This record gives sequence, structure tokens and C-alpha cells, in this order.
Amino acid sequence: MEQQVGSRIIQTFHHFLEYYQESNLACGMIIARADLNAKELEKLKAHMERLEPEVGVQFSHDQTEGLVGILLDNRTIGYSHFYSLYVKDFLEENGFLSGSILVGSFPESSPYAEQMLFDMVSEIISENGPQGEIRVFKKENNKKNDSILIVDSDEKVLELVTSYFTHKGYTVHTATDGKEGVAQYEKHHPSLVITEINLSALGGYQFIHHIQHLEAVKAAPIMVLTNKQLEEDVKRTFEYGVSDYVTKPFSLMELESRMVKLLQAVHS
Amino acid sequence: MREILLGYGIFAMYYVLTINTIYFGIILFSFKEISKILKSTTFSKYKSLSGSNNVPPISILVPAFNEELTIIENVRSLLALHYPKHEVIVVNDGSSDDTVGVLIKEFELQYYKPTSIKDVIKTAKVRGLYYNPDYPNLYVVDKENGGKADSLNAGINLSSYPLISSIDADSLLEEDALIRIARMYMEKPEEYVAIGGNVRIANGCKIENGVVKNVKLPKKLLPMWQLVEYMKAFLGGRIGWSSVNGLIIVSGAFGVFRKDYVVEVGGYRGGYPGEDMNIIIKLHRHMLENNLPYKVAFCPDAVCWTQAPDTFKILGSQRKRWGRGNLKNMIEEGRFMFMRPKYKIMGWLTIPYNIIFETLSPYFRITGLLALIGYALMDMSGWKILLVFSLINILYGTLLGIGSMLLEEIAFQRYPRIRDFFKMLIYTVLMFFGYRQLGILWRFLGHIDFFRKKTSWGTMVRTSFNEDKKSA
Repeated sequence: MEQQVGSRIIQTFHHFLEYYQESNLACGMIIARADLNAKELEKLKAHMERLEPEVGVQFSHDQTEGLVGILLDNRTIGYSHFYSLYVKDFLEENGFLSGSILVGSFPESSPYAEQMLFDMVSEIISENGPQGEIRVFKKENNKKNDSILIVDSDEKVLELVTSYFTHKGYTVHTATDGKEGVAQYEKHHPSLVITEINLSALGGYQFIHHIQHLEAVKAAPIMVLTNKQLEEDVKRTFEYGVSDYVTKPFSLMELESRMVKLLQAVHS
Repeated sequence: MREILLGYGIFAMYYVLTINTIYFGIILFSFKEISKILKSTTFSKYKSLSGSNNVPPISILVPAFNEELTIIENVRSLLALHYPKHEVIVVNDGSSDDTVGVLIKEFELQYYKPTSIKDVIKTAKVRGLYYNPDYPNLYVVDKENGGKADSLNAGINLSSYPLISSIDADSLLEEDALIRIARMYMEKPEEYVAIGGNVRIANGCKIENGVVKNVKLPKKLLPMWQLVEYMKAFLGGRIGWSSVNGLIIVSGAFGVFRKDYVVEVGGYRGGYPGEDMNIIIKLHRHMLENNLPYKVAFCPDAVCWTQAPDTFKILGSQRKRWGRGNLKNMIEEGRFMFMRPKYKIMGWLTIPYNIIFETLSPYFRITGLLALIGYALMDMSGWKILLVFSLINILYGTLLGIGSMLLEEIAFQRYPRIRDFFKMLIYTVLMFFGYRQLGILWRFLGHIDFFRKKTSWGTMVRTSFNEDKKSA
């Protein structure tokens, strides 16, 4: 859920990453656990530009989470790692460093640029390593890297599912109507979609139809979680190629086990 | 002469006072009813109802005449209503713009010959039916121009469900509006023949993807006046009228009807505006004449948002149409029910109230005003009485306005800010200086149109909801 890891870094880099994703150009990404303010960030920037003047680089920081994000234009994982050594030295010398550093690159580490940054930020927040450690981010590194998109107009359902599955180690994205659902899907490419049929803006069926016909990406399995109990709806959703149908009121345990089964099928 | 003028003037004043007093009584009924409504709505589980097997299916009829600007957004939001089983039937009434074209393009519809349309009620010639199996609950009927009533009848001919809902193509339903009406209907399915929804003014609100996201009061003068007026009519008036089963109108913008009875009374009457009031009077008449138990109800928590006219020209044309339709209905139906015991509350209260205090009000009010002006020109000595009367009139009217606003704040709280409450209050008072008088004049002009047998529909210019979003 964006709000939960709503780091400023993600917002700052959003447009850049969208661009890299679309043009399929490479970019390096460094996320460091460090406490510095805007002025100190400028210092870091000046320092790095002196050391490595050749590279196109963007800096961003998130003071509330204590994070620094660095985006390297057209660089591989190898170079990004090399660059991060300088960053570490600077941060350590000035006493800014408060944890580990995570290095990744698009498309080497992950085929989805924005999702990669998102995962990197949530990883460094959730499991901060020893100070000064530099880790290379790999998609497989995460125990359960699976992300879920849940679409429902009922905020309470979103809240419940998000807190439960985030706790279980999944990344959860949410949307409150069909249109927003499509946007979130295109942005995050989740491994599984859970959706209500009663949706505004774009109805549930249209939403399902739409994401299954998005070109370039193989659609994630879709699970329906709905108030609708009519046989016709069950029939129709399965005809649309939906993988599972759960009616409300629902059990989180049941939902999870059905989900796990679907995700296993995806991975195998 | 002077005495006659004064006497008549004072008679007119008492006339206005009586209207207010009757209205006051109705508002008291509304207050009595509101706690019941509050309880039954807060403890209903609309979310689970919206997927339940036990809710009756509804056919939504959308008459569309030159609606190419708003129709797509409208249909999308109707298809996405939270309801177990419903179909959306758009009836193109021979539009001169591309209403059908934009629908075909957006939903990739296929042409079918209109053979599946039954001929339950006679209508203008149906040219064709458009459908796409990917949207199994959307139908578009293309027919020749025949007016709104005719389009509704064509929709009835195609509809396959026992309940029908009429919806204006320029209105937006809240996602749970239909299920809220169905909940009420299911209390007594054998008795409810018509249930109307609450119409609210969308001007000034932020609308996204066919959903009202941010409720705000209109910025312009005319929509603001209409908002106060609607609130008074719907919450203060219709809740009360509904509780005594004397409701004379279910707004054409949004209502649900039992199809079998609508067909039995011959469907919607064409040729004149006011078909929404006409169908309700006919239903009352039919049920009472056949001694059937029935109810015509108002469901204030089922909300439909509509764009109110914001120019004098369009508002005037709408009000003249209403005046014309009202007069026609009273001549055609009302007078047969006037003071007849067989028609119970309709015969004793609703119809007399409507004829004496609504239909005839322009004559009493205008002549009364003229008499008072004439009297004042001849002699100024009676000005105190006049002032006292006017003040009483305004205070009474304001009191009724406040009553309606209280009902709103008790039960619905769509305008929770204190500032909004005072803004509405100011406009309630301001209504007595210009707007009311205009309303009376427009109604009178509508009557003149009626006697001149004017049949045109006047101007109704639609603005896209999207445009409103941009300007908001």
C-alpha cells in the first residue's frame, strides 16, 4: 500500500522510473539508511559530482523514514555498487549513516522499475541490516515478494486485507474503483488480483476484462471477493477467466489459503 | 372600492397563510417519519443486500434525447450500480445529435432488428435494438421521436423485469440508490406500486467518473435557490405526504415502479410534460377504484444527483413546462378525484391542495398583489397590516425552510459544515425576494402556453458533467 511506504523518494522518482520502464533503458538505484537534511543532501550531491562527474544522477531523501535514494542514469548493477561505496564513505565520515545500503538496477534486478524501488524501500524499512552493510537487491532475495492488488469500494475490507497480508509478508496495493484498479495494475504488475464485482467508474466485469487484455504482460490470476451471491455472477466470472470466487462475509484464513494455491500455480 | 381591494388583498394573504399552515402540518408528519427512516436505514445491510439472491431485478429505463455529452458517463455509472440484477435500457428518442453513435462506439454494440420488443404499449416506430454480449445488461433502443413518455413506454416494452426505474439521462444515481429503494419495496412488495428517490442538486459538487466525490453547495444564485427549494419540497414535503400515502408525484429524475400496474394504467401519457405526476395520479386512481391496498412512497436516502438549470431562460422554460403539465394533469385526472370520498386522502387532501394551492395559486397571488398595490396607491393608511402580513408570510416560510434543513441535518448530513447551514438559511430568506415571485409568474406563463396549445418542449440545454468537473 502506497500510503504505508509512502516515501518521498518514490514520489520524486516516479516520473523517471516511468520513463525508464517505457523506454526500457537501464538505471541504477541506491537506497541508503541515513539521516540528513536538505542541506546535507546538497553536500552529498556536490561531493559525488566531484568524484564521478560523468554520470547522470538524481538524489532524493526522506527525512521521516531516514532514507536517501540515488538514481543513476543508464548504469548497471556493477557500477551502481561501485558508486555506492563512495556514498557509504561520505555518509559514514559525516556520521549520517544509520543502517545498511541497498543497491539494485533496472532491468537486471527486476523487470518493473517502479515496483523495484517500492520493494527496495519496503525491504530496507522492514529489515534494516547492520550499519555500513551494502546489499545487492534481488527479486528472489525476498522471502515472499508476491504483491497483491485488491480492488474494493469498501475501505474497511481494504484495511483488513492490507493489514493481514502485509503482516504475512506480501506487498499489498489497493484501489477503490475499477479505473483506479487498472491504473494500479499497470503500475505495479501484482502477482495476484483480488476484486469486488460491484465497482464504480469501471464495473467489476469490465475491470477483469480490461486487465486480461492488457498486451505485453501475462495477466495475473484474478480472484473475486464479492457481495454478489447470484449463480449467474459466479458463472459469468468464471467465463471471464477468473481463477476463484469468494463471497462476503469471508474468512481471511480461507482467502489466504486460496491465494497461496493460486500463487503456487503461478510460480511453478 | 378601497375596502374591496383591501378585503381581497387580505383574503390573498390568508390564502398564503393557509398554504403555509398545511405545509407546516405536512412537515410535522415528516418529522414524525424521519426517526423511523433513520432506524430502518442505519440497521440495513445494503452491502450484502446488493448481492443477494432475494432482491427483485430491476429494469432501468433511460430516455435520451440529444444526450451525446453525458450519456456514456451516465450509462457507465448505471452499469456499475451496486445491485444484484439489473438491466439498463437506453431509449434514444430520435435525437438529432449522435447519441446512438457514441453509445455504439463506446460499447461496441451490434444492430439487431427490434423483433424481441413486445408491443405492450403503443409507441413511435422503433428503428432498432443495439446490444453487445460483453455487456449483457445493456440495451439501446433506437426509435423515432415521440417524447419522453413515449420513450419510457418503449423501454417498458423491451424490459424483462417486474420492476422498472425511470431515470433522466442527465442525472447520476448514487451507487446504493437502487438497493435502498429495493430494500423499502421488499418490506411490502404487494403494496408498494411506486417509490421515488431523493433528487439533489449536483451543481458545485466535484464529480469523477460518474460519482459525486465531494459534496458542495452551488456557487451560483439560481442553483442555490433551487437547492433550498428541492430540500424543502423533498424532505419537508414528500416525506410527510408519503407517510399519509398522499404523494402526488415521484420525480421523473429517479423513481421505481411496479411494471404490471404501470402497464395496467396504460403506461406513460405522451404529448404533455408532467408525465411523472400523471403516472402517479393514475396509479392512485387505479388502485383506489379497484380497492387494492397500495402505497406510493418516497425513499429519502436513495439519492439521485441532477444538474439544475443555471440560467433564467432554461429555468423559466422548465418551470413553464411544469406549470403546463400540472394544469393538464389537474384537468385530465385531478378534477375527477376532487373531494370524492372514494379517493380517500387523495380526494380529500392531496388533489384539493394541489388544485387550490398549487395550480390556481398564480391567480390568487397575482390578483392579490395587484389589489394590494392598488389599495396602497389609493390610500397608505393600511400599510401596517400589509407589512405585518408580509412579515408573517416570510417568517412562516423561513420556518418551513429551517424545518427541512433540520430534517437534512438530523438524517442525512450531506452539508455538514456550519457555514453551509447558514448559507442555506440566507437563501431560504432571500427566496421571498424575487425567486418565489418569478416561480409564480413562470407557472402562470405555463398556463398561458397551455391555453394556446403550445406543444413544443422548450429549451433544455445539457452541460456535460465533465465540464462541471473542470470548472469546479
